[in-house]
Amino acid sequence: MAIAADLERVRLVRALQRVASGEAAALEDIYRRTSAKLFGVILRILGDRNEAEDVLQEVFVTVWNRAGSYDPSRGVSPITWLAAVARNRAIDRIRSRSARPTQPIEAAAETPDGAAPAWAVLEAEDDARRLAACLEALDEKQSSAIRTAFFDGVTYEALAVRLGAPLGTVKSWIRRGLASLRTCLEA
Amino acid sequence: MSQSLTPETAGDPPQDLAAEFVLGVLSPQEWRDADRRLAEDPAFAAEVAAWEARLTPLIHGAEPVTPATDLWPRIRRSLPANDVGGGEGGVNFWRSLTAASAFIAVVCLTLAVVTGRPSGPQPVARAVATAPPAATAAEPLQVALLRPTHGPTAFVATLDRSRKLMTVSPGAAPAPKGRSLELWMIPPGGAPQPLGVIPSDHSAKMPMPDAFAGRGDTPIVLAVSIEPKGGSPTGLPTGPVVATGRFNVV
Repeated sequence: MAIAADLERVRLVRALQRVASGEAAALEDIYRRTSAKLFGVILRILGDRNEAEDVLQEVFVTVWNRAGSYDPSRGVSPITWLAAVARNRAIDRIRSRSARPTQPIEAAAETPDGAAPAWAVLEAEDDARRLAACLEALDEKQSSAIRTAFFDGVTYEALAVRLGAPLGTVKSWIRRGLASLRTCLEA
Repeated sequence: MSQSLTPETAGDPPQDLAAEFVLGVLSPQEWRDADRRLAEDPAFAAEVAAWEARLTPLIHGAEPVTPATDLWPRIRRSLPANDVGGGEGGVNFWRSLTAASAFIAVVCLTLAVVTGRPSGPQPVARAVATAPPAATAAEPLQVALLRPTHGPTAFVATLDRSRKLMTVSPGAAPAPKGRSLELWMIPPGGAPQPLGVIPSDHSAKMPMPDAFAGRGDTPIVLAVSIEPKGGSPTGLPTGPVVATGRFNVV
């Protein structure tokens, strides 16, 4: 299973390199392999399919223009790199619509794609498992505040409203949680 | 209203701005300040990079969802692959500026920016998407999404400062029969200036307008209007504006 994940990683790195040299077919290959994963990330954050598709389009235009800036020697896996680009784009979008109310999390609860490549999960396992373990070790309110903030792209103030807690308390949960998380991950 | 002095938060660790920036909890103003600081403060950029590396694996908790089947063709069409000429037209002025400004004010402006490779000591996925690195050889490539008030991105414009090129690629662009799409730039408080007729089915490349040359605050709006075939006869937009957007400032 680890071999399958490694193989996918190598394929994706090669495809990114081919995109960097201007091969549109390689971008399509990346799209085929990762769009469900990336769309899931964006939709989870934005909660609106049309908007999420816009952002996914933007992500792939970004990848087309900037695939050359992905450097596998930096140790970040290609799918994590792509997913981070997707999350950042989605959060930029949230920022640009800050006047509009954010959708409840439930709005993003679409049917998962059963055909999603298992490798994405496999590959993410090491980092994700470590992070999950450290989050588990936190106070439940701290970890849930961090998860919600990460996926909802909301400010402290919006988070306080969402969690029904005072602003100071929410800041305290997040700050304590982040500090503990850092210590745990560096241990 | 400051909450920092409430007894409940008294024993908290000091604010970790880099962590809060990556997590996304800062207010829009704080976020913009931090975003700007990334370019100027390598130590801060390194902190942000380290938090990127710590928190990014959370992403894998999102369930995959298949996007609409027509999305790939849309993306494919919007890639700046086919080059045609553009950038015709002299400089004229739009007299009914009040109406234009009012329209611009209500449309949804979408900002986006792409920069080159990060320079921090850690893998910085974020820097690829939003953060200008402290020291990079590549000029930032900026992206603007041009959209109607409601609906998907009609055009994607990219600005390549190092090659002094602007590319405008159709996304879900309208294809008005027997009429032309014309691109305009509208400086803040200024009049629309024609940048030429653009195709609805493939990309157009044009010299970067001088107005974009400065690195400072240039919130110039790009707009696309529907004009008679061959472009506006007056040098001013005469038809409906179908999409607007702008590059944000690095």
